[in-house]
Amino acid sequence: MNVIEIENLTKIYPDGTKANDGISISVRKNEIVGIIGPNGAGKTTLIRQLLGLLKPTEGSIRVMGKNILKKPGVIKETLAYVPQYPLSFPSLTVEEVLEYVIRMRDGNVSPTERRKKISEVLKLLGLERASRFFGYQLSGGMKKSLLLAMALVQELPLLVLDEPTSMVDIVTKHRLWEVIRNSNREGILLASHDMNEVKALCDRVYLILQGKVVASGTPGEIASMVKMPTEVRLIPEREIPPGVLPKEHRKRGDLYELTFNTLEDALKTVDVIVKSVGVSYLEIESPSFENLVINLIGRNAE
Amino acid sequence: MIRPLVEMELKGMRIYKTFLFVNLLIMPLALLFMMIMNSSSRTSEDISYLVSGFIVVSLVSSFLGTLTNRVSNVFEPSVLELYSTLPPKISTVVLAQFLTYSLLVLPQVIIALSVIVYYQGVGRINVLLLIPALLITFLELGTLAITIGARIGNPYKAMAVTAVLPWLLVVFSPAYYRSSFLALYLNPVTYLLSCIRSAVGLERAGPIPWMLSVTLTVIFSILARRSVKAGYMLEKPF
Repeated sequence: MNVIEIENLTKIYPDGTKANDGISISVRKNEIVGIIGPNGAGKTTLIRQLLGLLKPTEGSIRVMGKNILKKPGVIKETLAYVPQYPLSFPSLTVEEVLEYVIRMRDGNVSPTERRKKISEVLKLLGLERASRFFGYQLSGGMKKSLLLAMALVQELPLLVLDEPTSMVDIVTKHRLWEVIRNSNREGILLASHDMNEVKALCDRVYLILQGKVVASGTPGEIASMVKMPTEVRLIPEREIPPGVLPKEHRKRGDLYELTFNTLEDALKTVDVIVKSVGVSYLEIESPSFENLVINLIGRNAE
Repeated sequence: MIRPLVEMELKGMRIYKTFLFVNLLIMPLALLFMMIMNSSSRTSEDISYLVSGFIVVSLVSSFLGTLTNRVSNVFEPSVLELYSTLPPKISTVVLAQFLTYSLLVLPQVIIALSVIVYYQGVGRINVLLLIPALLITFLELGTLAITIGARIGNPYKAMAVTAVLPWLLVVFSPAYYRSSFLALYLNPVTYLLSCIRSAVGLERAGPIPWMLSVTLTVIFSILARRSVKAGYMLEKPF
């Protein structure tokens, strides 16, 4: 079952701008799906339609099997959201914000249970020491962590994250990734600029450009769509037989610099060298996921 | 749902407590004090006239000053996004804000009414008119503030309006002076003043101010409701 199903979604603004053009995206049960694309690709418009803030020009959005155009109530009932901007309630403490979110979600939760839930989520996100901090005292990373805490504490089945770790330091980022990965939701939709984040978290990825989905698949499949040169630097334990080396290679002292058309070719050759003569030093510069996506975007833009 | 939201709004004011204390109590009560200190050179009716003006001016400042700004903050796209999946509807959030600012301005209104009762005597106060007059004033100014705040949807832009509009509404109304200049009758505050003054025995209770105030309250309520109940809140040019 698809917990989120966006079908043929088109959004045209009153000024004629087509922000989304026939986008179809699905999130299966227990799946984390990523949306990536440059600024202005249409990610925010897509999310705002999913949140019921913008009306689709065409197409449909189903959340937990219900069409949100017909049953908008399903959004608040099933979906928690972490916005892109590090919003905060400047004069409420972290603890108070979470307390109000729980009280608004369910007025019958006892104060003891409320405290337990708050303490759990604070511990999970490493915010225990900031629990009495006012919103205006929080750093950007803490604000983002609090927004994620607000989403998690509601214990809703679906999570929509819009660049959840932008403006966050690397340690907090990895902590947030771990929390998201282990959050046990029925489905997560993640919009991000951070290719490493998408690679680390997502089961499937949709690449959006100029309002259209231009590629989709697992991060690995996306990577295999583009062949990019890979450079290898190695010091063999003995002399490498001439037939093994690629056409493009240089030797500087003991160090060999080899260039391959693809990562796959590079790995095959390295494997042969390791098995035949052994390697004392090895460095492979393979295309990053980020470069692959930039390349894909470049190709599509052309 | 309303209670936690009102509590949130009130708790959210903690860091501004000195500012609020000065603006909501010290400054208005200082003005009231000056009016009372001037009583030796004026009749008790003159004092009550000024104090009744003070009630409406306090409500204009509270609603069209502060509430408009708060509502415009809620209608910022990023805040709407945040609230889109939180349990309360935007209309409930705005209602809680209206109630909060009504509660905050209430002490000034009660103190001012007590002064009027002192100078006018209980016998001249028509409670059956005073309650609806206050209710209409709260509702008309509150719904106007909500409509403006929701339409602007940006606290920085709203500040330009909230700095000028209350000032215009107060200066061009007979809040602190007596005048029957025709242009003043283009100002809705003029009619609200008439309703309150007729309830405290300072004016004859004519039907026109009441009818106009009720009509404007209904119109502003419809506009406010439309603004806060819209299904697709970002579905407007921005």
